[in-house]
Amino acid sequence: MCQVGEDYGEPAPGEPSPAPRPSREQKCVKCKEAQPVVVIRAGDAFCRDCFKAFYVHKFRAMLGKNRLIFPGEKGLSQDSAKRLRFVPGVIFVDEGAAFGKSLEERSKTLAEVKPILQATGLPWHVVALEEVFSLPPSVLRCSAQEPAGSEGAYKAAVDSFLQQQHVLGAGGGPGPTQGKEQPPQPRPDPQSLAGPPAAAQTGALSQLFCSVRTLTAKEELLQTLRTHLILHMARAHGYSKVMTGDSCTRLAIKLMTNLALGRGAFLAWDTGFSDERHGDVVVVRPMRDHTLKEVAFYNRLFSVPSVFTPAVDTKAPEKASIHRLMEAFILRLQTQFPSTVSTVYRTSEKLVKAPRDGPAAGDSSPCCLLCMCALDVDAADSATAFGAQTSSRLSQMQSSTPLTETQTPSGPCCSSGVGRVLGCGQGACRREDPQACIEEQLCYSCRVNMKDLPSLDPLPPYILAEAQLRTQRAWVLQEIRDCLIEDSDDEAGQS
Amino acid sequence: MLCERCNKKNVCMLRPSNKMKLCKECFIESFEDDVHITILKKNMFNKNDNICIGVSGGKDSSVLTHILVNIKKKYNYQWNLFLLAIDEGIKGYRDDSLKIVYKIQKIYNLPLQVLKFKNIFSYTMDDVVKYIGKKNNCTVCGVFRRQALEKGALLFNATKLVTGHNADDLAETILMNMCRGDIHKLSKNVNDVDSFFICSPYTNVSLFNVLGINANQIIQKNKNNLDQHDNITDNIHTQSEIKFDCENVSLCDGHKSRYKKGLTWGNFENGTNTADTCTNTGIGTNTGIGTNTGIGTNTGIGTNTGIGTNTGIGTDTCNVDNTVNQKNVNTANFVKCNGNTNCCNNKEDTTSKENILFIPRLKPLMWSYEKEIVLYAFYLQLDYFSTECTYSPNSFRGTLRSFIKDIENINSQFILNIIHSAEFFYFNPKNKKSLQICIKCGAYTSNQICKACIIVEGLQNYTDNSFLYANKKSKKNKKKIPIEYEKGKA
Repeated sequence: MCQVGEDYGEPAPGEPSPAPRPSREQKCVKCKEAQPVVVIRAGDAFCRDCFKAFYVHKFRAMLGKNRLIFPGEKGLSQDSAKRLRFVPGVIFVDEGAAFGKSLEERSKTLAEVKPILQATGLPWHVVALEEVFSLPPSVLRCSAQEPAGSEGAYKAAVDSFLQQQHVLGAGGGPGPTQGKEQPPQPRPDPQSLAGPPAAAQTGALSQLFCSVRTLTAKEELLQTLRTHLILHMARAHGYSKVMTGDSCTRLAIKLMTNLALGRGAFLAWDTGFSDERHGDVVVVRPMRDHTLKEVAFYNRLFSVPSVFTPAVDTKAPEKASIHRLMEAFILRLQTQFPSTVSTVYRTSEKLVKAPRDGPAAGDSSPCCLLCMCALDVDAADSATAFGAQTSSRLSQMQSSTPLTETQTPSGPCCSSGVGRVLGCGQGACRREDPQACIEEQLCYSCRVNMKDLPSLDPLPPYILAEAQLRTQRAWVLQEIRDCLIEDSDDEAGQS
Repeated sequence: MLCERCNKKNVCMLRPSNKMKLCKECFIESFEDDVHITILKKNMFNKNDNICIGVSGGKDSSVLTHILVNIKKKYNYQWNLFLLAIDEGIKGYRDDSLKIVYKIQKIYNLPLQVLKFKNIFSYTMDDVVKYIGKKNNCTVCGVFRRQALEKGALLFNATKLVTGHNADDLAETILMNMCRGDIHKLSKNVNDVDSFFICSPYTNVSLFNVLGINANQIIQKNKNNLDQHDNITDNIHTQSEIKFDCENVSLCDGHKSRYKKGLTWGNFENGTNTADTCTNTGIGTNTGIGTNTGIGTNTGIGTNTGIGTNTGIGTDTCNVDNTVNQKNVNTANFVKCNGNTNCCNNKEDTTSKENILFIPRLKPLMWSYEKEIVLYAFYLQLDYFSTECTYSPNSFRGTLRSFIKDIENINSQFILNIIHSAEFFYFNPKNKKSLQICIKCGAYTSNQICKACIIVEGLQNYTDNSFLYANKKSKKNKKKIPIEYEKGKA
């Protein structure tokens, strides 16, 4: 009856709308008139219209409750309550190169995707993952948030790669109190029609992904690069928000997966409603209240077109990566204990973003190079300081020093991550071991992922460039520290 | 191939945690060093700590005992180590593992104590399973066992309680609490030990004093091999061995021998032994004339009482040194029952014990993989009992355990990742709970009455399973068994 879908983007398999199990006499629980067509939770049968209303209501409620995307100011026009007053665009990221699909396959997929994008009537963009190689290092910098109102109408770019969703009620024009108006024009982005991306970039991308040893690290890397790319596109086209179609089930799985990857400190950002660690662009997850089942049924009942594209872990066995394993586990648990997903979801709601020490806007507290969260490797008594984080290369380099009661095993300056955040400004390591210097700038989970890359060279140049820049800056800061008058008390590179 | 650490001997194993190829001696050394680092990093022990080791006969506790003894010898710490084992009353499982425990005790020559569920809570696990079936029994066993450990630790006058939980256990617990939404057990900022305070008016009482036992004396007796107290009967034998059989009966009935065969908790007669004016009883409901009681509901005339609900006429409390007979082991000094705190005038009480109501539970093996523990035990040929509890296959934790094993097969680093993640959880600090003392039995609880007492009560009045969930808010109307614990009522 209800399939918890395990394939990306596929609608519910073809079967007639399921009749409610208990009795044929049962009516929709909401309007109590029509025949129900779908059962959401145990015992809640809805008819088609009520289901749509329920679904839409949840979506709006999520947006409204969090007050991040709001319509024009006071003085709403008459029927403004019915419409979402923002203008979204749609973006599709073509990741075929990452898992070795040929150009024909990719253009075939694109040909399927484009009509869907055009049919939404919104401005759309198609971008290939290879473009990460032409990204500027500024992508990794956390720019300050723009003061509200300086921009024109609020726009949002919708990431519909995973689940193409019918965008509900494309809003009308911007409110009367807004500044400049930017009416939407459903024009194709000229970039996407420029032909297939350069072969060199495609080659570089596939080389990068081939060099990654484990599937887990591949998926993580893919997500990171995709995020950066979308961020860049959003900034380039003036979008201030990015919406993703993560459903409740997916977020619960993501939460547990991130737990297993060591991202416990950042769960609030990774799975919460809004994620503002990038500064000016905010990632929003309006569908986090909808279970995958509801999404699948919505797609089915209202004929929302979707395209299935294989992902990096399609057809991989269950034990291949932590993502697969966790997904299978949660879904299996859900069958035994039907409240698992909602429990995990409620727990994620209770997660509060830990207050940052020091002034806000993250200028002084160091951020991870890749995921832009505050670094979490300083705690002296955490398991990471135990030595689990030292890469096997470095641990072999060091000679085993005899332990005394007061000393922890020492090593070269870079490898002891305890409390030395950007401390590798020592000249020696800067030149001899750039790899370790990059690792120093990563949070714990990014470090663990990077361990699966035998060499950091195939990474896109913007990452390496930014890492270099930060190292230099830290080194310079160290040199001139004596002359600076500090008015804040957290300084990078404190020993 | 030569070992990577000493470069002298031949490699014989690959270490799961850091994939180093080591010889046998180097592995043993590095494993012990890792545990030592854990102890140091977490500031687990102080000088002269009385460390109570919870042993079950399984591999973790055997390895833990061995390592602690070795580390103490190697670095010359001044700890005092004790062994504590709990008998849940599971046939075919616990009785076998207890044999190993006795063996361990002989090998390392440490004082041992075995406490039984039957004596403390008046139910064995087999009884519990008969009542509530096989689904939720792990909860009951866990709650009971933890309390039993704490009570046992008090007996030893311990300052720290250590258990053999390893990294896999920790990861399992974290995932389990996540799946259950149990944020109180998850987040460090909510569970900060330092910020616990005891919000009970009886803060200055030493619990172990109230229990009427001063373990110091027992230990002292052992050291000097003196037989000062003939009320500790023939069960105390040689210099190196303390063993309580822990079968029935009462503490301190007048000037008769105090321990007939051992001690019991919670089961005793009311108003015992009116022969003397000073009947000392333990925990639970006590009535009688001239009774000095311990924790719990007490009524009577001329009662001197301890913590708990007290009523009565002429209740005058404070500073009663009830050493009526020299033959009695020092008995309790109690506190005034209406909220004014008073000191313990117990002469044998070392002053540092005044506020140690809280014995921290520590896990020195917390960052060691289970695989490595097994390897360690294998190389040192340590004896341990390795059969699964008969009731465990149906448990929620069992599902998670097999999942953790699957994760480890991908990469054992994930276990430490999970532990690392949990260190940084941050929940809303408004939900902090403070620690209180159960008014029925005196154990720690975050509510008024501790879970163990609720469970015992529930088992006695068993009609359905709802007492297992009595503390949780439930949306549906679960039938609740009324448990009377209002103050002022007997």
